[in-house]
Amino acid sequence: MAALKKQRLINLLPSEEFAVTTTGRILSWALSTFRYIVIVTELVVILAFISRFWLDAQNADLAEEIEQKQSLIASSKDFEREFIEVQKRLIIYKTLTSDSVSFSKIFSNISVNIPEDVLLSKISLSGESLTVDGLSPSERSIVQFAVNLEKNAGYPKTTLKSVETNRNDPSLLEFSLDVSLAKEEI
Amino acid sequence: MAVGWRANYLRYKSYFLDVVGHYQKRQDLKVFMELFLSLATISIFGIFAIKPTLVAMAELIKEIEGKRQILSIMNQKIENLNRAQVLYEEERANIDLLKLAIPKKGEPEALVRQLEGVASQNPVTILSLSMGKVNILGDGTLDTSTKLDVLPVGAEGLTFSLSSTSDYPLLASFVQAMEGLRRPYKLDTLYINTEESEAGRELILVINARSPYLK
Repeated sequence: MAALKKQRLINLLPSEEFAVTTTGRILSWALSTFRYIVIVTELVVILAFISRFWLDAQNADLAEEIEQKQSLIASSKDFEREFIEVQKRLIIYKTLTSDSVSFSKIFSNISVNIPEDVLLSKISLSGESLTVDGLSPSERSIVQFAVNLEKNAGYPKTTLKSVETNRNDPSLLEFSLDVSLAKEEI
Repeated sequence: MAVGWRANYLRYKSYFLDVVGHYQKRQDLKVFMELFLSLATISIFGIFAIKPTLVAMAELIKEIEGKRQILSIMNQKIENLNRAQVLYEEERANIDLLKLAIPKKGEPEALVRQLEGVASQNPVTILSLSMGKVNILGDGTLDTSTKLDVLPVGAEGLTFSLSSTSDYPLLASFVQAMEGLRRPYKLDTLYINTEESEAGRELILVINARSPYLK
């Protein structure tokens, strides 16, 4: 009965005794899978080591080139400063000459459009604001002057600020005109 | 629920505390031993060998890339400097004039000379000419802050005030000539006033302006 039982037992595991023990399995693993893992790891490390030569050489070349260019740029430092100053000067000059109010043009605009019986006592300019003070015997001439400045001289924002009788000569009217200078004039 | 948890706990506790015993008793566990060992080896090699190598490589590649970028910027700068040099040489005559127009320092004497030149060409009587604070020598700074508009590019301004008298056409031509001064200026205020004097009525022109110079 016992012999029959023994005959029925099927064992698919390897028959070698050592190979099925823990030590045997570990040894077998160390000689197969572990070896491959070690080889792959070494390959990666060796590849990195070899490529490092090439990368280091490249890095050194670049560092050298940067040093050369640095000295080249450093030698042009004075010129660079000079050029930046010229650029600054250009900006200042351009801004001032393009933004400045042409007072001679304002002069001619006023003198061309002034009616005969109007006498100017003061012209003042501050920023974009022009004030024209004067005397005239006729209210009509003052209005005419304002209209001339508005329509002919091209100052659409001309306002009559004040009109009053002159203290020294009651036959004359004192007036003050505020002119906001149009953008074209500035 | 609580009973089930306790039962499972007792069951799994035995697995954890008796790993070797279970391993020896159960054949199926033996099959996974290689897998566990492989995973452990890969993890150890990955952490202690491959990761530092790859990190070092990545740093080196990054450094090279950074240097390439720096080099490209430097090449661009050198190219721009060469172009600037050529342009500077081409425009040298104009640049010399520009330096006179916007000097490095206030140079009030140059401005006065120019104003005198304009006044001599258009014979108006200069009643007064005054200059603001300016550093003539040395690098000291002066407090020249005003409430007026700031000059472009933060330039300093040499303030000057000029008053003159003459008849209207001469004053008009004087003002026109002033506009053509080699040294540009920012006109702050300008007024023409009539004043009574012993000689009769006089036209007075007053100009307050600032001539820019570099800091």
